[in-house]
Amino acid sequence: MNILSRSEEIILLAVWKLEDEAYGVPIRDQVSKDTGQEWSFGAVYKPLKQLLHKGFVDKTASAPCAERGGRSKYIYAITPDGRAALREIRKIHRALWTEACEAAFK
Amino acid sequence: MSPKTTSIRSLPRLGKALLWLALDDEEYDQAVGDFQERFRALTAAAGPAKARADFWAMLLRSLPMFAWNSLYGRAMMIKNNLKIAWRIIRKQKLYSALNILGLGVSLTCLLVILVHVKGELGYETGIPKSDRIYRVQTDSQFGPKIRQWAVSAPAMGPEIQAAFPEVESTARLIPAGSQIISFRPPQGHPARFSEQGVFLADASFLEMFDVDIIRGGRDAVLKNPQAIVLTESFARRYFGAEDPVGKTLYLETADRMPLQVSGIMRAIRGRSHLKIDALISLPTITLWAGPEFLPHRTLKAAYTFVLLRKGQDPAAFGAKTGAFMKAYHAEQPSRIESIRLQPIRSIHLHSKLESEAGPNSDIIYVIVFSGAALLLLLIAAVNFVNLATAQSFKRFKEIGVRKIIGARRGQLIRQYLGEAGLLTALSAGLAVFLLIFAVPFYNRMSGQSITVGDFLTAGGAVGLLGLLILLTLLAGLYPALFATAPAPAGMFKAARTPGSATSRLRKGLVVFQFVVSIFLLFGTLTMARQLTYFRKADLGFENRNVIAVDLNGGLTKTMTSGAGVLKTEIARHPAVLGIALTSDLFGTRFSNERLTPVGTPDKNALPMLRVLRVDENFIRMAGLTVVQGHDFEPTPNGAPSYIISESTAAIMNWRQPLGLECLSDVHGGKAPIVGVIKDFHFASLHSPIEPLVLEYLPASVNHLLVRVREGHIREVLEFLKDRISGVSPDHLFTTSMVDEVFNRNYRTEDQSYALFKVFAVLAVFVACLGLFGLSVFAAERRIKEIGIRKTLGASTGSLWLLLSGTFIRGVVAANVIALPLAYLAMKKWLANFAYHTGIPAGIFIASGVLTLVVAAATVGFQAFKSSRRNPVESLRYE
Repeated sequence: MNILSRSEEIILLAVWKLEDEAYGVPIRDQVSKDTGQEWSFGAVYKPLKQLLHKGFVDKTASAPCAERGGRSKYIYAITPDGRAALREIRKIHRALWTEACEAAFK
Repeated sequence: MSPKTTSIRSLPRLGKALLWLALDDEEYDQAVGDFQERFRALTAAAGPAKARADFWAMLLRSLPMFAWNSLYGRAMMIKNNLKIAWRIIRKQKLYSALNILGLGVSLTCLLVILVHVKGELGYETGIPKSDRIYRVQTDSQFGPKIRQWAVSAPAMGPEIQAAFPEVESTARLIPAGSQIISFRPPQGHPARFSEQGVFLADASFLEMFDVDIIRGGRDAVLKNPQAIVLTESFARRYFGAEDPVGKTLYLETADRMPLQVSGIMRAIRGRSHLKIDALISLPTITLWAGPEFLPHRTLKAAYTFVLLRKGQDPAAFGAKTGAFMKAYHAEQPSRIESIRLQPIRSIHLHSKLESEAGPNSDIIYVIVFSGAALLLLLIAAVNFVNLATAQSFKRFKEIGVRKIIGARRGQLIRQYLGEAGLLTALSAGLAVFLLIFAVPFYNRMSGQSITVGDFLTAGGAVGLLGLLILLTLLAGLYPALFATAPAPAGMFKAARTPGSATSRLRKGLVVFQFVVSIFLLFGTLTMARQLTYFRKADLGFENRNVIAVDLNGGLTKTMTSGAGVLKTEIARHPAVLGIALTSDLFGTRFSNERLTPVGTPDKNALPMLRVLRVDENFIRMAGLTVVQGHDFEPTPNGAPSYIISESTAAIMNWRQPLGLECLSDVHGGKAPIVGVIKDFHFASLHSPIEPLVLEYLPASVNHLLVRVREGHIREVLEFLKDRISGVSPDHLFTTSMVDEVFNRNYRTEDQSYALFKVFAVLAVFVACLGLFGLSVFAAERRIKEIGIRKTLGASTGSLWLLLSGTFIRGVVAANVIALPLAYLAMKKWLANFAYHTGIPAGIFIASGVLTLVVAAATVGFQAFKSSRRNPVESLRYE
């Protein structure tokens, strides 16, 4: 089983949340909002490429649009494998956190 | 939307180009789209400036990711690219070797020069408060002449402290000059050494310069009179492993004054213009020079350092000094003096005042050497460009095939840059290897002690990496763009026709290389000529084969008074041509005093003169010419008299100086002028001859001069040592050669010349490497043409001319450009010296002919080889 890295997890969640609007700019905005840090495009593209490579997302080019200077949007969509990976990572998180002693954080 | 707003709303081109280089097509499309969208949104929301700033910030933060991204999943591709690059480098052995050698050599030079420059710029920066420390410079005006002093009066420091609230502290540092210091242990031999780095200092000096005190308290060590603080190396010299604190040292040269070692300090941190070995507490000077010394208001004796409070502006300080100096000289209103603050960090490269603590360097040499090193690197980079574009004709087919198979231009460019990068990396490896040899060479030449370790710093590594990337882009980008540009169909054709645009560029670059080389060569030849002039010029006195013996211990007394048995004995030695006594050696700074004719109302208006104290043999020994009056005659009680130089007579406006009675500034005594001598160069040829006064005063001399027959120096030295130790066992036998002392004034020029020479030779060498590569290439390309010409009856000579003509013309053109430029530059350099040589036609001819001959030999060898080749060989396979 290929466990997601933290950045892949964050990005994949953002893609999932954004549904049809998941391309570079909104993804970057979303993850910046989620994590409270400014992400650079480079930091977004790299995990996206890995996710694509692993088959957790698909990429389709839209029709060219004016606000992008006549270039296409590259829209990402989560695949069933991607969903499975998210479920898996959630399970791992739960398991990890239940075993951690709550008292340690008080 | 107007065209203007569209252009504002599109991305900066350079940014796009960077993205294009870093990313593949689809990724590029995506990234540019995303950047564009954000850019437009931000332009609309916050204006174009904000948007642009955000774009660059975002881009720079993204680039490392992109780089990583492009590596990811592409390791095989990169490996393949590297492999191909390596194969190509190996296949074109000559071309690669020329490039690596040229770049490696010039990189080595650049690295050494960078470390040199860093050292030169880093003076005093090791002192934590050095940004607030200033030295007080005193400008004294005498008539039309202003003299600028690095030293000020002993009273200046405390007065400044009292008058300026913005001054945190002041410290005086008084050079003790050359001193002999001894340690006499209860048993065993006394240790005695001649010391140059001894200063007297205020206690505040230690705090101001953050001197580390290893033993003793910082406040206590310089408090009491006759206390001395030593550096570790100084202490080791006298005490070895013993504990020095509390022991007594004797200042032999000051009536054997005892000094108590009160502590041990470390040397000033980092490089400093002050070379301090030991500090004596300032109150000691009162015992030594009398109670009037410390409150003295005009004597130029102490380096006065001022520490301004945090946030204080030195300019505001400067504005108040006028009023301060008026109050300071209230009792001597005729004295016109002003002070100003010199930032301590600027002293090493920018200060050339009288009585500097030591020889300083000059910023001009820093600039010239950095410039020369960069030019050398540029020459090597030009080789790279030239050889690569020339070679690319051969590779058009390869590129064409790659394109047809489907290589995108970005990929090809990256492949080219990869090759350039690999070559650069290899030459950097060579450079690091060459450093092992270059560093000792540099140290010998500059008197510095850098180590290869100085290059291995984190900053250095990053800098080197940056430099390599820059060099790769500089050298590789043009060939890469050029070679990958044409459409594939044209490329197969292009293999046969030389691209005239690039060949013009290549010729231009070769001319540029030789312009630089010729310039450096011309400079070197002119410098060599001036340095020879320094050594060979007629100074007007006997400079060669003169031994100077330091007078110290009991010897001073033996020499200056008494029957003079030892003197007679030395003078009778068959190899000795003459002996004399003098207070200072030629080429060092003489005392600076006034000579006041009896009855002069205001002596402050008189000019300052250089004064040398001598005995009755001096003029004869030095071979000076008396033009009026007569030589000194010994007086029974050593009563003084004067002999002045012609320029002194001129500046004092004395028509009939003989017999004039004058008062001395120093001892106040009255003495007559008995003679006038011809002017001679008692100081270096940098500056015009100053007015000089010789005072007959054998009681205050410091050196015994012994002129020796050529080739007998060693023998006479042995003899002197033997006799002097017999008469005066406590004498520390130190000698120097008078001409060597004199020529020390030219050390900066000597060192610059030595470095410059290396640069000139290397520049010609690297330029010729390139030329050689190009000529090989040209000969290869025209191999068939030559074969055909030969079968049709062309002579070897005409073929030689055909092949090397272009290059020779280039070098001639370079001469035409470089020689006038070099002439102007060197004329300016020569103007630094009051006495200098001209630039004769010989230097023009030599630089021109030398470069032409070297260039002709370089290309000629190849041309000759090709023109001699049997046409059967070259035409065989068609």
